[in-house]
Amino acid sequence: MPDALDVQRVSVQFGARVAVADVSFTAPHGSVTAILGPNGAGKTTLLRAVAGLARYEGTISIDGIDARQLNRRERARRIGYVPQQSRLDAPLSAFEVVAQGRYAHHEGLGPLGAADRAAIEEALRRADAFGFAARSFVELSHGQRRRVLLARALATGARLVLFDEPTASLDIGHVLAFFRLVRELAAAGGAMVLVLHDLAHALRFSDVAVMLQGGRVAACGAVAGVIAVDPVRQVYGVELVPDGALGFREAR
Amino acid sequence: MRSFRRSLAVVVAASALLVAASLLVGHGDLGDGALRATFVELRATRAAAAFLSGAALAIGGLVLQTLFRNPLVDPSILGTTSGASLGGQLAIVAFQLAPGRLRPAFLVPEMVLPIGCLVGALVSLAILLAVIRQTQSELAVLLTGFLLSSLFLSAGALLVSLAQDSWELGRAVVSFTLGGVGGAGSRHVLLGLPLVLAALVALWCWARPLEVLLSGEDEANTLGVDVPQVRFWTVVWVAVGTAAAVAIGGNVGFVGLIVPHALRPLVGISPRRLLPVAAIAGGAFVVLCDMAVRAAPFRGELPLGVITGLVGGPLFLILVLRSQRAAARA
Repeated sequence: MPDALDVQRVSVQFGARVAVADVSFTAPHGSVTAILGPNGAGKTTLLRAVAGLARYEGTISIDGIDARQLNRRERARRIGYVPQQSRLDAPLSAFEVVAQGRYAHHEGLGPLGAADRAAIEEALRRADAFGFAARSFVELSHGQRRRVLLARALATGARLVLFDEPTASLDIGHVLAFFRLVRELAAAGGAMVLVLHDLAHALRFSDVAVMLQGGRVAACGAVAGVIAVDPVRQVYGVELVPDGALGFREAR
Repeated sequence: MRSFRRSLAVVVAASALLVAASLLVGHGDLGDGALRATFVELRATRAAAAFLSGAALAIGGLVLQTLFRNPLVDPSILGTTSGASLGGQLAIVAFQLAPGRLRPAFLVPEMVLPIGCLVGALVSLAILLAVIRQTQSELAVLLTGFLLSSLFLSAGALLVSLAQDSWELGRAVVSFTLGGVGGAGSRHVLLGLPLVLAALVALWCWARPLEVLLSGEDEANTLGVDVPQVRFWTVVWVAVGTAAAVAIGGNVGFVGLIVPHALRPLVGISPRRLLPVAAIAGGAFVVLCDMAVRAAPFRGELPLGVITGLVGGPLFLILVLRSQRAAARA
């Protein structure tokens, strides 16, 4: 079975500036992959390239198929994307926002079918957003909006889901609930790829990590090997404190 | 869904009543048995022309607001109607001045005006889209629209001045420029009807991706929307509808701004639901404005755009102020 995501020698350039350089990694089915690195390391750009939002050189394969061969609808059915923030500022209900996730499944002009409605309701329940499905998206708190965006990605039915800093604006209860859901989705055969800032979350909830520095891979592999003393010192300039709980201090 | 059906029923019933009432308003006495049928026919034609013009402008405004994610735009504010108007003026002048042998055989005089309006509307929207590719700033979009509108109106005024050299040509250009449905005949309605209907149906077919586009281009892209295709075709169909509206009723402003804005609290924001309701309500609104034109106690007839402008201008100002307050709160 091919990997859910196979990134080979991918580079992204904006004019003369190289944002991502020669990055390779794989995300198998059933895994949670964390993309790590300091601000400006190229994490979000890499995620946008996988989502089809940034031009890239190299090869990105989804379930063994070159992403460039997939049309927009096929790609949307295979890749769910949860942005850091939505640009939606119109008063659509949370249900209507999640229904956007069914766009790629719905060829006709008619109303949503029973299967679409079931998928939307299931996604709302899994993201713990069913209680405010009828409320306007713009009236929700940032944390509630993120849960709606997560539900929209789940409603696509994609098994590869990309998250850009998914726990920002979430309270600790919903952070833990979010990672529980991510682990459940991975256990069901999905591949979850998350851009994370919090190394403690990455260490606790992911299987594989890709650590970027200046757009290049500084470390890649099993998460315990990536979030280790040497890579963390090299990339973040801080020292890992092995005192039972995860903590850091400035490097000398 | 139930509230949507109720709103739709209310809008349809109110519009039907308005159109029926418009048959009773105007110069001439319906009590005169010999002339009653003629008066009713003339007023019905005029009401149909006003309805078509309003429907096209309302759906154009709604679609552009959704496409640009900005409730302050409509075909008149973005310069689309003035572009269509300039195109129509140029078409009239070119057709009148061109020697007979240079006129294509298939081009009958009735087709010249809509074709000119369509080309003008398309050019205007193409310039605007080119600017939007460079900047997403709401202010830049609005300023570009105002600039285009001023430019096209100035060019139109120049053309009107130049056309005065020939009495007949000058009269035709001035009459078209002032706008209004007073001179609309059944041929105008028959020519405008398929264009407006085609624009309505086509835009309704694009309503679902338009709704996804409310989340911004990036998110729409990841959800499977072909953004450039949606943008291209919706602009083309808005231009077709606006061109038909201008060819029928001249440069009537603010309809696309007022009508969707008034309907959103009743029908919601989804373009799939709003489009048919906006078409009916937009048509009824212009019929109402035309009734005001006919009822106004003046010797000459007021241009229709004067009435819509008097209502739309202050409303636009209120919307801008409200939008600024909302931005300050966010």
